[in-house]
Amino acid sequence: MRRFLFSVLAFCFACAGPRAQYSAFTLRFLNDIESLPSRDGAPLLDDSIRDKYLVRDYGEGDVVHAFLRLTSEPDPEKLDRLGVSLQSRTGDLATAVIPVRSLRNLGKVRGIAHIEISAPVHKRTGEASL
Amino acid sequence: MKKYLILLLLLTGVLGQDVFGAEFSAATRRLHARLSDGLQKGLPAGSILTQRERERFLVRRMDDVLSVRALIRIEASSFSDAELEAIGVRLDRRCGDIASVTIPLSALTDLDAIPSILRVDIDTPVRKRLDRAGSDVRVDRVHDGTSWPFPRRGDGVIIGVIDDGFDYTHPVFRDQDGALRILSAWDQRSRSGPHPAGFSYGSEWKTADALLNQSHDSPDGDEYGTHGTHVASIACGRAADTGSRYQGMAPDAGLVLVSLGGGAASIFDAIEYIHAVADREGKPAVINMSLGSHTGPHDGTSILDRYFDRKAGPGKILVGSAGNEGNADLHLSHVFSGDTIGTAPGLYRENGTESGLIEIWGAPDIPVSVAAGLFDEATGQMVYQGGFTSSEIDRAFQSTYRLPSSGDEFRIDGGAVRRDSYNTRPNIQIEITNATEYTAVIAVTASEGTAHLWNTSEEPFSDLDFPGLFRQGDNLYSVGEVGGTAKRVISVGAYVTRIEYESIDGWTYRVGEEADLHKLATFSSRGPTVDGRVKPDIAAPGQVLIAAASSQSQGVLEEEIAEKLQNRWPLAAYGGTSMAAPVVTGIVALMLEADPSLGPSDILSVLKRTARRDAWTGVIPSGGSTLWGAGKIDALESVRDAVTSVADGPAILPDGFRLDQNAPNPFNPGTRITFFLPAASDIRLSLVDVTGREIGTLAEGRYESGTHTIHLRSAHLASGIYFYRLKSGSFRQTRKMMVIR
Repeated sequence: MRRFLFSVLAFCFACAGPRAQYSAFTLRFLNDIESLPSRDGAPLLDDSIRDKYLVRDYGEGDVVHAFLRLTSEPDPEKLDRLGVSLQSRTGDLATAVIPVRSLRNLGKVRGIAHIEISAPVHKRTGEASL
Repeated sequence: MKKYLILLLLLTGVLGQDVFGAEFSAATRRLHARLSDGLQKGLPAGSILTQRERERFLVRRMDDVLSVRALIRIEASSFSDAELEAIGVRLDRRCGDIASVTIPLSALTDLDAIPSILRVDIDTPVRKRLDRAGSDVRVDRVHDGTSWPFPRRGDGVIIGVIDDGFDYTHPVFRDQDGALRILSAWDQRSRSGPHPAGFSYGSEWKTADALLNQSHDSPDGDEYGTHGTHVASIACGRAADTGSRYQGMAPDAGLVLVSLGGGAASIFDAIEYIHAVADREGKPAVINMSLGSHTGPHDGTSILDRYFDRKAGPGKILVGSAGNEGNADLHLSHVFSGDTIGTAPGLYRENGTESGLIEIWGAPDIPVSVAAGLFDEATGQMVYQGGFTSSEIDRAFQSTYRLPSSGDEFRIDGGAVRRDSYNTRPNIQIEITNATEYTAVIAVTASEGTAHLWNTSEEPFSDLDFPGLFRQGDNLYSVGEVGGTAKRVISVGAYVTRIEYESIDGWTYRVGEEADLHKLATFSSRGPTVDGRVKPDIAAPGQVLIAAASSQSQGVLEEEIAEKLQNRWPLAAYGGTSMAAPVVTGIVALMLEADPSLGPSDILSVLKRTARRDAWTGVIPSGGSTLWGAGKIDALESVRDAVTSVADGPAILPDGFRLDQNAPNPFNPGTRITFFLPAASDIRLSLVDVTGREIGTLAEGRYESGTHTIHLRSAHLASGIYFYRLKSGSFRQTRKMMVIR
């Protein structure tokens, strides 16, 4: 019986697959878009969400830019299927352009340990200017 | 008698005009007279002037013809372009009755034959200075070679600027021959051109024609910015030939511009892009990032900081602005022992609703919890208190509260990470949206360890004048992510070098008090980092600087404009650590010109050794100050030090060239210097003394591929340190040797 339970647990883990850690900012984004209506699997985003999370549309639907930390080489076919396009790579760090609809599933791709969508940065003139 | 007087007056009039049909400026008259004499003797125009005269009159070879630039005033109603063309003069721009023209030397004497030209002013050298900042950091002496035999202006170095609001057409980005110094630009927001190789977004412009055709980067929303133009101009704007009085730090450096289309991940891509261009060109690069945020752990472990630390290396230098939150009180920290602290984060108000994002990082492996509520400042009572959310939940969370009386909403959106994979610290981000009449407050608790809070809205944490209940923020740890916290990014604070300037609107604007001069700018962010490192690394002029602004931007106000070149391209006064960082970037470019193999630790060591300390910096501890870093940057001493303390390590660019250490060393009476060339090359091997003065040529000319050895005798050399420098194309390497007697 115990062996059976272990097998079931092992099976469940195998099915669930690996899971990347998401940054707090990414978790908030995923949470914000979860309840939105969608079309063809892609959430319909309003301007406030686009601005806050720097969502871009380069002509093929909404995407976000993100950092990835990799523990091994992710399967390129899986990335292709998700529409994820790796941009730069240095050691275990990479950047990617990720369709918004694929962000959650990207976390299940083996080899991706951490996903952090791009947070806004500000120019440092501000109050010092006139 | 009357007739005689009229004749005298007529004669005086003719003489007064020096027989010129048009009015010529004094410099134009001098050049005209000089050329007339020579041309009358049948000499070709190019042989009439001495080299010194060419420099004095800014003679340049344009389209292979020796020419000068000039502004002319014309009689608009009768003027025709064809008259200029007929004598070979090129009309560059025209605005009403003023035009800029390029005049071949041989045509200058023909100009006075055109009656519709009323006045001619050839360009003359102007005093070059970057505001008062240039003389304050003594970069003008590096440019001129004053006290320093080798003028250095950034030649052979690439300055990358990651920003936006670039005006590609601004004259300050051209070289002495009028050619564009922008090697390429990647507009990450644009969709109108080809992506750079390896990237799937943005547009890359790689030729002068393409850049000038674009003229500027794409707007952010509807707004064309100017920040990037100003920053790039401080780093490497060129004043000579432009008519401007304000020159950047490295006016001969090449430029690569990236208009940032996103957030932190796009910076990563931008650096990869700039480094690829630099590698292709075989040149060292220094990248300026006048950018920042307070989203992150502020301890150098963010993913971007880790990336920076990997990418910074020999000939690859990163410079960032420390931040403008030195007086914002946006930080709060507490050493917990099971207690709870409360504070009221300042929020951004728009349309009756306040909002803001608070970033909380606990101690490694110690959970931290946060709750939010509403406080009535009139009664001193809590109106609503939400429950605590722990970082242990490791997911997003959300709550909404509506005031029973009005239905107004108080909403919390958060994200909790149990344990950051890089620093093992818990992280909670909590976004507050408050449409009620009450004040939003938060409470934070942990069992032990120090937790840090940053208000990313860059507003202060307040105690609301209830110090028993709430805590006030402070300005410690206010150096920002991106420019301020990475170990190998040179982080720059700002001090004051100008408190007023004259605008083209005729008014003098005062932007500070006399007593502020030379002091640290109040806005300049303070260190340390959370892991205890001193930041910023160095301070530079940042309040306020006059430099180029975008001719495209609607955001450049007339009162900000101190000059307008050719009535089109403004130079404007702005301040911030955004402006201080490119001062350092430009100076680093001068150091890389001296030694392209310098790495971030070399540069930091030089900056620390040579920084100025004065009455305003006070005594700076040996490890640096969390206000000033090592002190005020000194360009002259930095470049001198960079030359005289060259590392004996190998050069990095391009692969295959090698200059070996001389042997024996120290030596007397002779030594061997060996170098290796991967292919037949034109080389120059020179001998340099400790002041940087070239005192001899050891080898020069075309050498075959392979190893070559030069023998040097010490007979004519006094005891001391010397350098030998090999140059071949873009390859440069310097090594040190010693003569003993």
